[in-house]
Amino acid sequence: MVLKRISLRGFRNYRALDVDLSEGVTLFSGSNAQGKTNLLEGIYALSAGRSFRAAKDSEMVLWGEEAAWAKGWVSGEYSDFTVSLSVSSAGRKTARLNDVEKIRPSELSDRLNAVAFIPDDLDLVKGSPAARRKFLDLQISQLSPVYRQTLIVYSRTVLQKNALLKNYHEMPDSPRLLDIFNEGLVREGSLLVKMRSDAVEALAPLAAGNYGYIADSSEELEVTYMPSVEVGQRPDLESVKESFAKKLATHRAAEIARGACLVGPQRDDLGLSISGRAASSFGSQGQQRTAVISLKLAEAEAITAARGESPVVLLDDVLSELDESRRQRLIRRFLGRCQTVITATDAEYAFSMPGCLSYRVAAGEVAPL
Amino acid sequence: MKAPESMVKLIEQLRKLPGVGPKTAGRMALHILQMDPETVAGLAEAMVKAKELIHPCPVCFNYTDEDLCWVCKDDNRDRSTICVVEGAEGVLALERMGEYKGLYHVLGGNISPMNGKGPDDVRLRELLERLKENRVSEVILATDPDVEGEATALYISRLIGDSGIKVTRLARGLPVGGDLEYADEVTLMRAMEGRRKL
Repeated sequence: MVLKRISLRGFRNYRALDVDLSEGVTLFSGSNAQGKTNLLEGIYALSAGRSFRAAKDSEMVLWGEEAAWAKGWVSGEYSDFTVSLSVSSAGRKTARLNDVEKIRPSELSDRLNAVAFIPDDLDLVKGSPAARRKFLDLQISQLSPVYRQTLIVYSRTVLQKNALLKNYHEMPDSPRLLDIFNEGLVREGSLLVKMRSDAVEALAPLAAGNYGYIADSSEELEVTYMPSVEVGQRPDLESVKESFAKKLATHRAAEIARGACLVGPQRDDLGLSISGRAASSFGSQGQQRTAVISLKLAEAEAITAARGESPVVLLDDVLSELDESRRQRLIRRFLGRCQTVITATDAEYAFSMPGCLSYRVAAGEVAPL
Repeated sequence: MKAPESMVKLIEQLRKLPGVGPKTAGRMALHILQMDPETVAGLAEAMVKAKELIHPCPVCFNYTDEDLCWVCKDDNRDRSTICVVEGAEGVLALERMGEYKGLYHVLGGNISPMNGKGPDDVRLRELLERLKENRVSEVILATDPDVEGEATALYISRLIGDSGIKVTRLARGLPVGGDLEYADEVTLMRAMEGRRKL
């Protein structure tokens, strides 16, 4: 799958933009605040149906315009097609396939897959466990609608149980109600635990391989699933259910005393360590950045393995943060594997990428270099 | 909004109805103004009368304007089966089907701690009283298939426990007449879990 061309209208600082993309690497260079990231945001929105940074999708609309509109020409394995997304300033979204067929914005990812790396993604290493859970949830949800739905039901059950625990002593027959919500958590949550465990098992070796290659050192990136409910490797669903129920039973008194849920996948984490030391506290800037890129690349590879088609990889201002040798190796890792779109402040990088299509971005105008 | 005061009042009242926003309410108000006076009076009277006359059936809490609802009154209904629903809409839906011949019990909500609703906020005690009458052999739980509905169903099944009454839950699965390929993945998974031997 290749995204051959995109058009943006009224999108962020682009009034009208049409630009061709390379099957390999496309580089957009320019000074800060010229619209490089906005371009990547447009491509990402065509895949995810939403922005990768705005809290409200309507933020993508150019000031004074009624709607932002993005369209992509995709050359698929079997046929060529277009995807488009329009976002009104009121936040109403419409997605279309081939200009006519209306689809749900979330269904765009069934057509065009994109994996983005933006500077905020450093939260994966430095941020709270919630950021890492979100990464896992997005990754698995992209490939499994069952996971997506189970996560919704599970989260709702957690909210109900928290409300019950808060008013435990006022609620009539609360012990029996607690049993019932706990059973619900085990039923839905165990599937989440199992699918997360399987997903990390698939991601970990890919991320480690990417890290070793890009860093070109004997340092090892270790990605481990750190579930709230302890499970062994490749757990089967029944054994997860068993240990989840057991843990809920042993923490029952504590949960009642604290008035909140204390165990379950809503408290999972992803462990990231470099040669045995926690990347968040011991990693250097460069190591942390390389770790996140390796993880994102692993995500792209996992999607390729599951879909049989590689996603478009979007890298926002990543190169300048790496030293020359890591930069070279990162680019080499991508070339010929995934279609990649890169932004950078410096156009020099284009010379190190054979076949690279290079554009200069200045004040919402894009011109070939 | 610039409009006669009585018109604004009408629109505000109509907006209290479910699914009616400002635009729909405005359209409805204009339409009411175009109707002849008798029809408008009939509409108003129907609302007042319905509210006056209709009350919950003292046995099953379905709506009725008589001493008992039309289901409880019907001597041809099977009194050994009670179908438990969250609201009176459930009764209407199942009655449209026309194949269910038992009685109903309307809970008047579901158990939802988030909304401050516990077991005492739904008509469970009344249900248990009805079950003491020995004639009931099966309770069908037809609460909604969401988190709250499932919790309510499970809670009722625990309460009834080992009283010897059979407790069943409506099945989940594929819609009739639909194509397999159009079913969403979660429905397919449930249908797979609930598959039967032929």
